[in-house]
Amino acid sequence: MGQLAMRLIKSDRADTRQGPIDGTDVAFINSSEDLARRARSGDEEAFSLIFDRFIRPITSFIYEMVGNRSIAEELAQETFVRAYKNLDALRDDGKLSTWLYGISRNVIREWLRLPHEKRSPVEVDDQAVLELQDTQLGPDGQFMNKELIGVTRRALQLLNEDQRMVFSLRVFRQHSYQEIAEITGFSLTKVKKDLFRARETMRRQLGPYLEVSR
Amino acid sequence: MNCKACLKIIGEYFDGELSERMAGRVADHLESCPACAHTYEQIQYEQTVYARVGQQLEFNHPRWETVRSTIDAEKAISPATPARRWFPSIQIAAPVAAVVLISIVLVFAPLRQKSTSEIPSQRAEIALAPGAVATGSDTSLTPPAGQPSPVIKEKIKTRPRTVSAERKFVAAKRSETPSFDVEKFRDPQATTLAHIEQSQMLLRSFRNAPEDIAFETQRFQKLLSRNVLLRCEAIAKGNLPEEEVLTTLEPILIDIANLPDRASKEDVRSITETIRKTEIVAMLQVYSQTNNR
Repeated sequence: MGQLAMRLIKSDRADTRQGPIDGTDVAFINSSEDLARRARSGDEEAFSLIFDRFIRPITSFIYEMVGNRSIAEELAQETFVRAYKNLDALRDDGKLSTWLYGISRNVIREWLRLPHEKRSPVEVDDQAVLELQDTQLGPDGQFMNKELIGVTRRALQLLNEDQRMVFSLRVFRQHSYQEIAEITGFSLTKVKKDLFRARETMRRQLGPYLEVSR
Repeated sequence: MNCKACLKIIGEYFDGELSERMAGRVADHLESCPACAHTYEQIQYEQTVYARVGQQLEFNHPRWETVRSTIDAEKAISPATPARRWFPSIQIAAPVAAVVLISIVLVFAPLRQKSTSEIPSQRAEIALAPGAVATGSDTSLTPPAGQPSPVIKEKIKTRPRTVSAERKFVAAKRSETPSFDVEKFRDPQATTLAHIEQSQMLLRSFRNAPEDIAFETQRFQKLLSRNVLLRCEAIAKGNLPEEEVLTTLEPILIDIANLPDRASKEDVRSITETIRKTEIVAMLQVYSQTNNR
């Protein structure tokens, strides 16, 4: 793997289904940057590959923000509809991931700005949590795991919108502070401050679950 | 570095966002301070917990084809935009065209008398030419916007004209020939699916942001008229699942299509409640996903 492959890994951080990188040409063809370029020039297949590549992380991100699975699916679909219609607005092919997350941020914000009575009720979707399986754990471990996940997801919903967005992008999606600033439109200082406060709040909420014995 | 300063940036240190110099100072402090080192371990442990939470859940992701058809359906029901975009230029073009027309009339008026005698034979020639449109055959058609009415056309036909004007006239008549109605020859199943996907999309938008779409009742009126036709077809074909979906959808479309220009919040809320109670959006989604496979 040379520099090119390293670049791919960096640009496709959000990609959960990367194909094998066994040749620079093949790897380059499948890079998000190349897909973005091809999609902008009207290659629909390239956009369908972008869709396949990003639909899961984008839906997960939206789910972390809205806390409801079906709404997350709807908003993710809306994100890709908007992305497809506004492909011309993508100025830097290398920032496809940031751009898509930026669109999903707008979609989320629009939804969150709706008055409560006009949007479907949001509850933390426990059923989704219960469906998580960790086969490496025994029954007790699985129970604890599910409980922990449930508690964490509920605590996440207690953060304010900005903190939740920054926390989710950093802690769950591993975006850099600079990328988070680009996605959210916040200053770097605000990103740092929100992340610091979000971590503190989560620590307070989860308390005993996060204690490390000395 | 003291503990207070260290704890302030320990998160950034963990995230690898500090400069080399600052990171070095934090690392030095962590080596000498067990309390701060414990906090660092705490952050590391938290990250492992969050990593589990961050596992991607299994979602019912739509396929790209479904999303694409939604985009197509959206485009199909809002074709008015390009016409609106051209409207200002039409406003400018109309007076210009009038001036040009008057100039042509003034220039050709002296020649009119002379050319009248030549016209009948040329008119006959054009009428006999292959592909020529028979005059008077389409007077029953409603003229498209901006075209002269059949009565005026009749007057124009009887009026003597120059050869070039006559040719232009025939060319214009040819372009008026009605094109084939592609809709009629489409796959009926695909038409129903497209209709259901459009309805799904618009109902979702209505449910999520009723204040934006309440005034776009025209879209729902179009959907409603198509729904009636498709439901009748489904009944005729004995397609029960399709009939059920369209029958459930219809009252909701009627309600939205008949919303007044300034609908009250209660009206809109009662419709969104109906959408929720009937679970029509889910029903449409299931139908389109099942039939797309």
